[in-house]
This record gives sequence, C-alpha cells and structure tokens, in this order.
Amino acid sequence: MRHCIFPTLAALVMLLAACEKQIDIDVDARQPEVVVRALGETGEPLAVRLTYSRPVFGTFYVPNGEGYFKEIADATVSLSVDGSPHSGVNVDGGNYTFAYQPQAGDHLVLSVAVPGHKTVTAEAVVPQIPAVSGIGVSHGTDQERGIRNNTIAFTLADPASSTDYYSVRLRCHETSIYTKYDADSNIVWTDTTRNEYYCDFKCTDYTVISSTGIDVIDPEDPDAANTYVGDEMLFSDANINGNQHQFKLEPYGYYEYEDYDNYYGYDTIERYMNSRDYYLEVSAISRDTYMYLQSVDAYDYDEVLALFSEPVQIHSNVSGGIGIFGIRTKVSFKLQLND
Amino acid sequence: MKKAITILLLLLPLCATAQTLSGTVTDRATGETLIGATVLDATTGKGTVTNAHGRYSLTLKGSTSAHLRVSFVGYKVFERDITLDGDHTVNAQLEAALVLKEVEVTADRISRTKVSQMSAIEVPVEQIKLVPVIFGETDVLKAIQLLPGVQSGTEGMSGIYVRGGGPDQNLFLLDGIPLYNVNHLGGFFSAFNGDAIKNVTLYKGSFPSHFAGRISSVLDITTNNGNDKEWHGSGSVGLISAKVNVEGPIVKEQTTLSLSLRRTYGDLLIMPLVKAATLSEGIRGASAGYYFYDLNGKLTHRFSDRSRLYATWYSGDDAAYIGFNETENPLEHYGMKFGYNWGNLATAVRWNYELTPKLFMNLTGSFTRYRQKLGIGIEEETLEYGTLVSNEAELSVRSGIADVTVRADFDYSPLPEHAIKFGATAVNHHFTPQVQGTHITVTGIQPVDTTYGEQSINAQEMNLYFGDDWSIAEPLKVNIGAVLSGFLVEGRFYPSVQPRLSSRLLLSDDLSFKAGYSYMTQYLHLLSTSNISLPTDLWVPVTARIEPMNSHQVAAGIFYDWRSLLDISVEGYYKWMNNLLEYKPGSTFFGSSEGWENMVCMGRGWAYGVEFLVQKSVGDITGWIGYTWSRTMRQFDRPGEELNGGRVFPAKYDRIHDLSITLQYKPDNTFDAGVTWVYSTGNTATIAMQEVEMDAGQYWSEQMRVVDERNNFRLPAYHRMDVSVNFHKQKKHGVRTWSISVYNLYNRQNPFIIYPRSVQRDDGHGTTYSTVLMQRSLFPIMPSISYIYKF
Repeated sequence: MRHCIFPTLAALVMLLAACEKQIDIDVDARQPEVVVRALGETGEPLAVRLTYSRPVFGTFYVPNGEGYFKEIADATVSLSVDGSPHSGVNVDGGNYTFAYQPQAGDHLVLSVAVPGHKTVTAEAVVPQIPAVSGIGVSHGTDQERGIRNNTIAFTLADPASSTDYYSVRLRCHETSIYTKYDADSNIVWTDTTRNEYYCDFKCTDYTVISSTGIDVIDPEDPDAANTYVGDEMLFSDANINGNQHQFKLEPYGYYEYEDYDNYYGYDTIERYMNSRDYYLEVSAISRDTYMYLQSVDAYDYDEVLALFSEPVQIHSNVSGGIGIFGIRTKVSFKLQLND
Repeated sequence: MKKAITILLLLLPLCATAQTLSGTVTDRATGETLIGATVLDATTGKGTVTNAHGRYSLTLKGSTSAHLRVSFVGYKVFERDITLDGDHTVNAQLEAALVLKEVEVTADRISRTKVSQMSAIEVPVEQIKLVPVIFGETDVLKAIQLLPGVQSGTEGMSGIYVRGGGPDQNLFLLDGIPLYNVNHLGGFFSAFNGDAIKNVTLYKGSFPSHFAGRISSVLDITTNNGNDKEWHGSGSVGLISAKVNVEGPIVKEQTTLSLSLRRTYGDLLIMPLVKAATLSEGIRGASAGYYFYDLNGKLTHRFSDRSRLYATWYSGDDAAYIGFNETENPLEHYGMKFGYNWGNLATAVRWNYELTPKLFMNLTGSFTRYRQKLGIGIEEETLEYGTLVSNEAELSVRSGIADVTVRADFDYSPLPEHAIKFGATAVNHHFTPQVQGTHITVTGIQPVDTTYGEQSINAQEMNLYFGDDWSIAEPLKVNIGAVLSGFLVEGRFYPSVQPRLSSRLLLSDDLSFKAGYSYMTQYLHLLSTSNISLPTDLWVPVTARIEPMNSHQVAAGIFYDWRSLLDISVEGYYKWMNNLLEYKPGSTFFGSSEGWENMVCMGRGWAYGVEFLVQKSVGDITGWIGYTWSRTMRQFDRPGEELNGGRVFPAKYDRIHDLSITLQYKPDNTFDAGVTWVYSTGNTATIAMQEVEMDAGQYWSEQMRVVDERNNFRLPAYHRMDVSVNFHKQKKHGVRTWSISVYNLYNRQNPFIIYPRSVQRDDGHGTTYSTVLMQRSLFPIMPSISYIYKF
C-alpha cells in the first residue's frame, strides 16, 4: 500500500495542476486597428486624435520613451461638411485639428487613410441647439461654512419630431490661492492656480433618470435608489418627447469658496482659499455619442466589479476601425450659487 | 354561457349510454401508486394512462364487456374481464416482474407515438439513479441535462436551459409545489433527493393547460407515497453526503409515511482540523464549514378507494459559517462570526376525491418559501486605562419570497373521446426585498438598533384553465386548452390569455406526426449577478415598467415506436420570447432589489432547433441518445436599453450541437452499470480583443479594453464521459450495494472560467507585454464510491 500512496498523490497533483491551460486566439484578433477619437463641441475647432489599438492577446515590445499606444502621424485625414471638403488641418503627432468649428445641423463625414490599413470613415450630424430656459438656483440653508444644499433648476423643451439625447454637466472654474507665512523669516509666499472640472451632482427626478441607462444608483448609499449621482447625466427623451420638462439638480460639495488655515507651531501658517464659479452645460448629442459616453461611464464602474458583471462594450460608430465621431451642441449658463 | 349549457345538455344523453371504468393502479408489494401506467380495453382498443395520483378513468361506449389490461414498465400485466352493466371501480395491483421479458412488459403500453402530448419526456427514476454523476450523488437535474433540448450551464452546475430559455424560466414542481431555488452549493447539486422521487416528467413545449407561470419548461416531480404494507428503508454513505430513507405504514394499507434525509458532512470532518490549526495560534472556539441538507416527508392517508389525503413536506437549507474567538489575555478577547443560510421550505396538503367515476377532484393548499440570510458579527472586550470596554456590532441582511397557494384541479372523462382537465389556482406572492438590520453597542456611545428596508411587496396571481384531450377521429387527436391568467401587483393588473394546442395524427400504428403551439406568460423575474447560481439570486415581481415575460412556441415532429422497444422522435421548434431581462453592462446586483429596475434592460429572444431522441426504457440495456441542433439569439434595441449596440447577438448558452448518449446495463439484480458521454459546442463568452486609449477627459494615460461584439468568443467544445458500476448483494436483512463511479473518465479539461493572463517584463531599454487567454477547468477525473444498504 505504501508503494501506491506517493504515485497516487503525484498523479493527483499533476491532474489538478493541469486544470489550467492556454486557449488559442484567432490570429486576426492580433492585428492593431485604427482608433479614432473625435468628440467635438460646437463653436470649437474640431480635433481628431488617431492612435493604433493594442491587441489584447499577443506579445509586443514598447521601447522606453514611446507611449503604450502608438500615435498615427502619417494618416491622411479629410473632412467634408454638407458634402463640401474642408481643408486646413493642423497635424501634431496623432492629433489632427481642423479650423472648422461645427455648427448645428451640419452633416459631417470624416475619412482617415492610414498606410497599410483600409480607409476608416465615420459620419455625424451636429444636433440642433437644445432649448433651455428658466435657469434658476434655489438657495438652501448653510450646513457649514461654504457648504449648502442648493438646487439648480432649468427647463428643457424637447422637439417632438425625433428621438433626442442629452447631456447635462456642471462645470466648475476653481481658483485656489495658497499663502504661507513663516514668522522666523518673515516671508510670505503666495501662489494662485486655476482649475476646471466637472463636479458631481445628483438628480432624483425619476422621469429623467429612468432613461439615463447606467449608473443611476449611488453604490455607497443603498437608500438612494432611483437617484442619479455623477458628473454627467446622459438621458434620452423617452419620457419627455415633445414636452417641456423642468429639471432639478443638487450639486455636491462647496458652492462658493472654502478657506482654511493650518498652523505649524506658532511661527508658520498656511492658508488655502478656493473660490469657484459654476456653469450649467446642457448639450444635445447624437445617439452614437450618447451610447459611447454611456459605455465609457459604465466601463469605469466595471473595473471594480468586473467579476460579477457583463463586460462593457465601448460603443463605436467608426467604420473600419474603432472609436467615436460626434459633436456636442452645447449651451452654457453661469450660475449664481451664492446669495 | 347559454351555448355551454346547451352543449352540456346535449352531452348528457351520450354519457348515459357510456360506462366508465375507474380506479387506482398500485404496486402490489408496496401499495405505491403508479403514474403513467397504461390502462387498455383489449376488446375495443381504447385506453388511457394513470394520472399523477395513479388514478384512471376509462369511459367505454356501446360495449357490453371489456377485457381490461393494465401494464407498466417492470411489472407483470394485470388482466380482468368485466361485464359492462354500469360504472365499475377496478383497482389494479401490479406485481413487479423478476425477470423482464421485453415483450411482456411492453405489449400494451401507450407509447409517446400515440399520446397527443409532445415536447415532453418522462425519465424513469430507476434510469436517473443509474446515470453516473459527480461524487456519486444521484441528481435529477443532471440527468435532465442529458435530454435533447436541454442544456447545462457551466461545468458541474445543475441549472437547465430549455430550448433557448434562461434558468429562471423553468417551473420546478415538487408534488405540485413550486420551488424557487433548486440548487445546493452554488448549483453543483440539485435540491431533489433521488431516494424520495417516484416520477419525473419534463415539458419543453406544447404545455398542457394545467401548467402556467414560466415560459420555457416545467419539471414535474412526484415523490414516493411510501410502502403501505410494511416498513422498509435504506441508508447510504458517499464521499460528501449520507442519506437515510424510511417508509412504511402507520396504519396498514391506510396511512403511510415516507421520510428521506440527506446531509453533507464535510463540515463535520474538517472541524477538528480547523480547531487544531487555529488553537496553536491562540484562537479558541474557531469554526468554519459548509453543509446542506434536504428533508422530504410525505404522509398519505386513504379514507377509501375514492378518497385520499396527502401531506407533503420539503425543507432544504445550505449554511456556510466561519467564526473565532481570539484571546490576548484572560480579560481581553476578540471574536468574529459570519453565517450565510439559504434554502427552501415547501409544504402542501392535497385531497383527492373521486366525485363520480368520470370526475376526479384534487384540492391543494400549499406554502413555499425561499429565503436567504447573511449575518456578520464582531465583539471585543479590551482594557483601556484599566477599564474593561465591551464593543459589539452585528449586521444582518435577509430577503426572500413566500407563496401561499390554493388550487383545485378536476379530471373529467364524460365520453370515450374526451379527457377534460379544468381548474383554478390563486397564489399570494409575498416578496421581501433586502432587509438590513444593524445592532451596535459601543461603550460610551449611544447604541444603534435599526432595521432598514422592511417594506414588502404582495402580489396576487390567478389562473383558470381548461383543456380537453380530444380524439376527433381514430388517427387524429388534439389536446386543446387555454389558461386565463392575471397578476395584480401594486395596483396594476396584468391579464393574459394563453392558448395551448397539441395535436397528433397517427400515420400508422407506430408512426405519428405531431404539432403544437403554446403561449406562456411569466410574472416573476430572477435577479442574478453572475452565470452561476448564487444564493443572492432574488425573485422580484413585474412592475409598472418591467412587463411580464412571454413566449410563443410552435413545434412539430415525427414520432416512431419501433417494436414497442424504442421511442424514436424528431422534433423541430421555434420559440419567440419577449420582455427578457438582462443586466446593463457594468451593472451588478448583490441580493438587493432596491433600484433594480434601473439596472436591467428589456429585449427579445428567439430560439429554434431540431431535436432527435432515441429512447429505450425496457430490457437489459436502457437509455437514450439525444442530439440537438439549435440556435439561440437575443436582441436588446430599446432606446436607452441597447446591448451590443442594438444588434442581434448569440445568447450565452447558444450551443449549436449538443449530443448525449446515456446507456445503462442491468443484466440481473446483482450488477448494473451506466455510461454517459456528452458533447456540445462551447459556450459563448465576451472577450475584449483590443486595447485603446481611454477617453478620460483631458487625460490620455489610461487604457480601455474594447469588445467588438457581445458573446464574440466561442469556448472550446465540451465533452466528457462518466461511468458507474453498482454491485448488489442480498444480505440477511436486506440488500447492500457498492456503487463506484468515475466522473470525467478521460480527464477532459473543459473550461469553467476563462481569463486573460498578462506578463510584463522590463529589460532596461523597454518593456515586453505579453497576454494569453487561459482557461481553468473545475473537475478533472473524479472517482467516487458509496455504500448503500436497503432493508
């Protein structure tokens, strides 16, 4: 019996170790593709970024100093607007910038010819300007210095003739002033920085959020069911088609400014003072843009719980390659969040 | 209404000239009722089969005598001459045949060729017990997976996918009681203890009108009533579980009891190891383990030949737990406990009563419940500045569903050409979404004792059904019926009219053509996080936004009975499914029904295929060969709810080819053996093939993996062979059996999960990136042995 134990155990270990093996992948899936990223806005020069994708499966070498993704600098990029070719593209590595600034109603065709690849094409129609009115701020009570439950309201009039998609964002322009005083040296340093970002807000309007699609639940607050929390609310007009609807948003965080001091002993004081301006941005977007932004948003979330969720497909409207070509038709309003 | 009364009045005279033979067919030795036994009048050739209670009613017209032959596979034929001078009750007690000669036991049987029902397969329990399975655990669902039109999910799982439907679209009935979670250990074992089961029938389409509530299949399981003559039992010990089964008369031939218990004992075996391993670390009171058990009970009381009462009980639970107490010094300690329990409780009381020889009634009251509970607790006692501080925190989460059902079913045979079923069902569903309890006691802080989300949802479901198995002419028979159904939830009422049709055209005595149509509606959805069955899966009702699922299915086929030995069939089907649910990409669910409507999208699906089946139920060698060619597709293109960009994509379990060969050999009562070989096209999977720069505003340093099409990758083909042998020996007080089985005989490495594996190597001048796709198999060759003793 003793002579049997070790061979049996060895065989068992070999069997269990053999439970993992490599699966062959189709060779076609190992070729890089042309990636187009052209998500523009009305009133701004149209920028197109071109890179090669990296096949997930396979082996490749990236020399020091080169990016993980290779920029495509030798492409021929052409744009036609309502059937007329548009010239004048500025090339900087993989970035191609046209002088053309999209206007509502324009029909755009983008064509990208990369040596060794088939021509990549994409089409987009610049959406009509969203009809936004009645912007107002309802000031809540101060909870602590600089924090207040404000409510931003606006009315959107949706046209009845088509299926429309929208994006709502809250842009923040932040100015930070940093001051440091050292009593020993009697020196005062002052530095001012400016930063722009989209800040989080929430929306509990079920009429709207039921068509937002993704990420309407605050994962950290299970009681906040049917609440959108994020920095870009994407929705279709499924529930408001042809009607006017008033939206109410509640921004998170400081509404106006914050300042605080740090004391190091008795001789050094640091002071931070951040002041903010807010802008409401409502954009009409195409279905492709809507689906692309939705999928990118979902992808962020998927990174955390990928094991328990279906993989996210990044939407693409680029024929012959991967990527997005779309324009936001944006209207922007400065908000008065302080009294 | 007037028309119906007129028709009934017209039928009455016809009834008056017909005589009805009725009764119960039982096993002579045990008194167990026999389901599906053939009852035939050899004089006229008219026949029927016994119902789920072993009852039959055979109405004959224009005859003065009958020669009754009652047969059932494995039993000697029961024969009796009867003078038809009125209605007669003839109870047939069949004697088991010691030596089975195929001709004897099959001469009279009503084969699948002759019945009007199609898309239904009955698998003898004895065959199920001979199907080799993993760890030697007899498993009904694993046997069902081997039938054509039925696909298994992931390796080793008990979930079934019938004709392109999802795992939540199957109605599992245990003695008529629906069970909501039929899995143990994440789906590796089903909740059905083979020792407690008498009959198993799977309906894949052309559903009889007395079934409703799911859109893809009905698995109707009947448990043993128990021996009414003398006490018998069995006990078995296998690799992971032990089973005990006892049955016998409380009052001879009047009141019987059948009890079956199965429990895994892995937790008991590892407990000393856990204690030993943790004690050396100063941790006392450590415990960790997992077990499940099933308890089936059935009490049957016979008031008379016409009246019987059944009380059925099933409870099955899984429990996973871990806990410890760590002692720093005699005064200080730290303890933690975690427990997760989930399971079913189902109980029913049924009363059968033969109102007249032509009219049989079954009244049922039942309760079924599935619930899960997770609890985490910590406690500590520490010394802080000489003062003993005690802290305690407990968190519990529970959810579930409970149904109370009342049901009345009637079998009515007014004329030889008609076998009518009608009845009504009322169900109250009580849904408990996630309920959280928090209890915190910390020295110096106000205690917290709170419960969140305790609101529940009640919904009412009503069904009225009618069906007639009608012999229009000698070769033509139809089973036509309808279900009128309604579901009331939160003030909203969903009505549904569900027509059912199944027809048979006898082309010759052993060859028939059948066609059928059925429309099914389902008012419940299963919220599930992943592709394996987790206890966190939760049933929720339809809502104002989430509409009921429904399916239309048409099927047609040729059925051939070869010499009463082989049932051969070819069936084609096409099924449309609407309002299917899928999780939105990136959405996850962990046992909470809060806000779930926003995490799902609705779409449609369709499935089509051809199924071949050759089944042999009698003789030394039995078994079946099943092959299915099928496709299953999905499309989710509603605005805001698109999957795959709104394009059509194959379902996860879209397997084009599916072949299973199951053979059993039983030459005598001392030895039997079984072999199973399965082959199927690999599952689909969604794999990202390209990486691109991530769109993260002004930042370009991130990367994003891009999927071009959903379910774009086909896993390697699945195939496996299992074998089993059983050696039986008569002992002084009973029969002992050694059962040896080998799962995955040739050690095929079938994929359980697939995942990319990346390696990054820096040589100082640059970096080499390498990624390959890996698969992990779950079960290599798995031998098992078990010991069974029957007395």
